[in-house]
Amino acid sequence: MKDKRVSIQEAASAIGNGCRLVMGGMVLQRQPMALVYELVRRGVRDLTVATFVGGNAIDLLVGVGAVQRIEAAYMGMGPFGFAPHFRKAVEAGRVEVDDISESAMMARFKAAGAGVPFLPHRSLLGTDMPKYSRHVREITCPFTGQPLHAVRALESDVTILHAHVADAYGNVQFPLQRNTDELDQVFAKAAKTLIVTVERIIPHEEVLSRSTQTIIPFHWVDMVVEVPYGAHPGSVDGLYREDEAHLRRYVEAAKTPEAFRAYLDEFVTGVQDHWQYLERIGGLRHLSSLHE
Amino acid sequence: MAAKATDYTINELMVVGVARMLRDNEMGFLGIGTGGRAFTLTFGIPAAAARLAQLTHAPNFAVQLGSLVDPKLDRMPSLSSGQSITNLRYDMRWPASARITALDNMDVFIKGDLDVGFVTAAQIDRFGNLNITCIGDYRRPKVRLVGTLAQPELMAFPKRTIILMDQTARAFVPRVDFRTSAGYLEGGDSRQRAGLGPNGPIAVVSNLCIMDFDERTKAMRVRSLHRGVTLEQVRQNTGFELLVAPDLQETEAPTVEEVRLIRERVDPHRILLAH
Repeated sequence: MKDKRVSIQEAASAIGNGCRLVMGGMVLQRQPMALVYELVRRGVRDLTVATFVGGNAIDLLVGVGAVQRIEAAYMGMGPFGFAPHFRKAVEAGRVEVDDISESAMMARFKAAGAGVPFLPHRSLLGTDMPKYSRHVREITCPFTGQPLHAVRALESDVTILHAHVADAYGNVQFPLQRNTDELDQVFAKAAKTLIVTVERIIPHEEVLSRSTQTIIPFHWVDMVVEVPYGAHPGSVDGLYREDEAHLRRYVEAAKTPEAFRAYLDEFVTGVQDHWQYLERIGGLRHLSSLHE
Repeated sequence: MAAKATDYTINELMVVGVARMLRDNEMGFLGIGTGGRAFTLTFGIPAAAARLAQLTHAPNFAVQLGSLVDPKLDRMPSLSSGQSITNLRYDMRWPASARITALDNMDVFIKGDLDVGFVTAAQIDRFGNLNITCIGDYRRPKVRLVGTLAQPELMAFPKRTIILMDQTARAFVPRVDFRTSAGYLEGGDSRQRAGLGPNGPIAVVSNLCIMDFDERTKAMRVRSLHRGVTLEQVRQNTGFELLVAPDLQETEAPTVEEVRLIRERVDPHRILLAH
C-alpha cells in the first residue's frame, strides 16, 4: 500500500490552469481553505469549479480572478449573506454560472460516481434551468413516456476535500456523529483525481479498529495532506466553529479593491504558508476559542 | 369559543395563519435563510408555526431541517455567543430522530414522501412561480442572487407548499425574471402538462394578506386581509392583477392562547421572529 502523504504545495501543484475542480464541503463547512489559499498564492487561472453548495472558498477564488465558470446549486455565505465577489463577477459578466437544483447537482455527481453518462431527473421540470444549462437535456422516459430531463455526469480533473482524519494510505474517516448535509463521499466516488486534506493523520491500526468509519477508502484517494485547522475560517463539524469575526471581515473587505488587496496581503498572498496564516489569525489562543 | 387576541404582531399573525395549514402526523421541510428578514420568512415563521401546531392541534407534526430529521423544536441548544441559528442544524447537541445523508434525504424528497414545504423568494409571479436566481438577464444579470438551493424540489414534490413573502410590487411581478421553481407555470393545467404533479403551492402568506390560487386558472387570489390592511393597499403592492375571493374576509386573528404560546413557549427569546 502506497504512502500518499504529500505537502500542501505538492497537492496544489496538481491543480493547473484550466483545471475542472470539484470543491468539497458545503457553504462554510469543511471547505479545503488551506489548499485554496495555496492555489491563490500560485496564481492558478481559468478554473471551472463545481460543487453542491459553495461558499467562501469559491468566492475567494472568484475574487482573485481565478475562476471562469461555476456549477453549483447555491453560491453564498450562509448567515453572512451573499458571496460578495461571486455576485459582482457574475453581474459584470466575468464568471459564467451553470445553475441547476440541489438534487440535479447531486444527480450529476451520482452519475459520475456510478459510471453512467447521465441520470434521468425530475426536479427541473417547469423551471428555466434546462434553457441555460449545458448539462441538461429534455428526454422522455422510454418506459412511461413521461417528460424528464437527462442531467449529465460531472466530469472533473481534480476533487479537493477537507476531512477529519486519514491514515497515510488515504483511508479517510469521519466521526460517527457528523453533519451529513454535504456530499463529500459522493464527490469522492465521482472523483478522477482526489486530494484530501485532513486535520490529523492517524495510524493505520486506528483505521483498522473502526473500519465502518472509513467513508472514503484509500484506493479512491490520490493524495492526502495533514493540515490542522485546514478549513479555517470555515468549520469542521465537531471540531471547530466558523470564525465569524474573520468571515465578517472577509465580506467587508470585498467592498473595495483596496480593502480586498489588504485582506489578501494580510492572510493569503502576504503569508508564506499555512503555519504563518495560523499565526496571523491569532494562533492557538484564537483557534481554541472556536473549538466545539 | 377561544378568546381572540387584540395585541399581536403581523409576524405572529403569519405564524398562526401557517400553523392552521398544518395537520397532525405530517412532516414539514424547513429551509435555511441567510439572515434578517429572509431568515424570518424561510425559517423563523415556518418553524414557529410548526412548533405552535405541535402545541395545539398537531402534536405529532414533525419537521425536517436539511438532512436533520425531526429536530426537537423545544430542545434547541442555546445559541453560543455569536453562533447563528442557521448553523444550529449542524449542532450535534440538538436532539433529533435521525441525521441522514443529504443524498438519501433528497432521493426520498423527490419520491414524494414529504407533506409540506415552506419557501420564500425574491420574486413571485401571478401563477406562483418563484425566482431566487437573478434579476434581469440570466447571462448578465442586474442582480445575481443565490442560485437555486432546493427550491425547485420544494415546489415540485411536497404534497403542498406554503410560500411566505413580503408583499411589494417589486417582488410580486407579472412574470419572474428567471423561473427558479415551478408554481403553476402559465396557469390552467400547464403544470401537469410539463410533467409535474397536481400538487404545488397552496397559499402565499404575506405581511399584508393570505392568498391562494384559483382552482381552474391557477391565478393568485387574495383570500383574507390582515387587520388594518385594505384591498387597495394589497393591489398597490402587487405588480399584477390579483383575483379576489368572493368571500374575502379579514385574516382570522390569533387567539389569546396562541399569542401566549408563541411569546412564552415557541419563541420566548425572540429569535425566530426577530426580524
